[in-house]
Amino acid sequence: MSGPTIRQYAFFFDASACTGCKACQIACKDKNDLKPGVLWRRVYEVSGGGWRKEGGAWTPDIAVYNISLSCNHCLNPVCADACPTGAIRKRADGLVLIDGDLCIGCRYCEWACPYGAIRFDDTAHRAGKCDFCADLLDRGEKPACVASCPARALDFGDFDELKKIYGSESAIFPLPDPSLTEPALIVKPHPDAAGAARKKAAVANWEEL
Amino acid sequence: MAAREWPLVVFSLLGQLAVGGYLCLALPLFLSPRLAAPEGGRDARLVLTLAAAGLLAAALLAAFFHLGAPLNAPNALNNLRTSWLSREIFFLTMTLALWALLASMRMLKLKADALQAGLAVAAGAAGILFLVSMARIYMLSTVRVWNALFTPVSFFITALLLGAAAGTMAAATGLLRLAPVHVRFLLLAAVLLAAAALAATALATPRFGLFGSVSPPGLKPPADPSLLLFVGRLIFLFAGAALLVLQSGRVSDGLSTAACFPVLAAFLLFFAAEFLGRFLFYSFYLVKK
Repeated sequence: MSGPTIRQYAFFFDASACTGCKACQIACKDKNDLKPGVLWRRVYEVSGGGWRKEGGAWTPDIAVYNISLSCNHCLNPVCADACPTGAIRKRADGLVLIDGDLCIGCRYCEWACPYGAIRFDDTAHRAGKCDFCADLLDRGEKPACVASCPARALDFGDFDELKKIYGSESAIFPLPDPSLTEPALIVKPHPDAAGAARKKAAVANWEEL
Repeated sequence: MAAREWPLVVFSLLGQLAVGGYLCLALPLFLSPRLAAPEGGRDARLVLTLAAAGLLAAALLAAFFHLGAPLNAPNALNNLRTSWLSREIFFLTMTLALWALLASMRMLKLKADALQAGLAVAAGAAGILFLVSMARIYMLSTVRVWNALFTPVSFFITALLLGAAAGTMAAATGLLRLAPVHVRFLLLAAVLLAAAALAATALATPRFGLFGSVSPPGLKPPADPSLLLFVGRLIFLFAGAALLVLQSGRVSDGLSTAACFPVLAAFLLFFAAEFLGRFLFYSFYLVKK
């Protein structure tokens, strides 16, 4: 698979703009013809909080926002280190790809990825995940998820170039500590995210994910 | 825990029993043939090596049921450079090969005690590295609930406890004739290891132990491990240890036949305890989906 001479592809996600419509999730599923139960891009609905007394009045004190997430094509891909077969490799352009012909379906990569990005396909008996729509990239097109977002909450490009535009924040509750895998991801947090841990927020739509 | 993880429970328990049994029972006999059964009995070294190899082969067979694409299984050795799973399979294969070699030498009655002792030590080292690799598989920096000292400590305790208890059982039931000093050692080791297992379980079991680790909120569905499994493991360990302590007075010249059923029950209790413990271990992170 030949790729453009770019150092590291990355995604940008604007949590403050995301409406949770899941168009990205569906576009990914459609483009990759994913089986029921397999999602390579997922929209997590994060919510928590309660009521706060202000003087004589009770006001809502909540954190509610969405996070659209796929594989972050990490700079330190723990999935590739864990994989016993060498099926997971990082391409010259930073994309982390799985060679299904080598995969033994042990699911160790799925355990290792803290983003839940790798999904086992019970039909193919192999692990699978976002490949950044490498075929579209090679044709100069956008990944399906980015192209589908009506709120323009997703963007992609060279990691360094994206940092210049959007900054370098890659942490938002409840994502894992970025130092673990160095994800190629930039996030613009939702204003509610700052107090989400204190408000005991959690993912609320597990049955969809 | 999903049904597809059952093979891992079987694989890890049988693998640990095989290595633990070999280290507690067969290795001392290879290193000190005077410990072996009196002349005229079965070749204990051959029987024990074959039993360990059989258990490890059964464990390996169970592991295949965990794979989505078992025909690709040879690929599991591709990434020895960074993958602990590759290393685990490598050391398992080495251990099995060395045991097969040792068993062949015993069957052919080759008079090469020094060489056999050397090979036996190498097999023991390979077995220990197999257990280390197995523990390291779970100690992922990204999985806080498994990335704790509890993982390797509990794996080694399981291996040695089951090994020592299996030895006492084999001696008490007459399956093997072991030297009295060896039987006393096995009995004492089993009691001490059961005490260590009780302490480790009570103190360090994730979520339920006094100082156990807890999973932070994240992007994996929350696990729901059962407190019943934790309590059951503690009860079974305590009951097994108590049964063995009560038999300690019956060990003078080997175990008396009166100790047969209590010692067998102790082994079964320990096995059940470790079975519950292993099921619980996987339940801390792997959820049914």
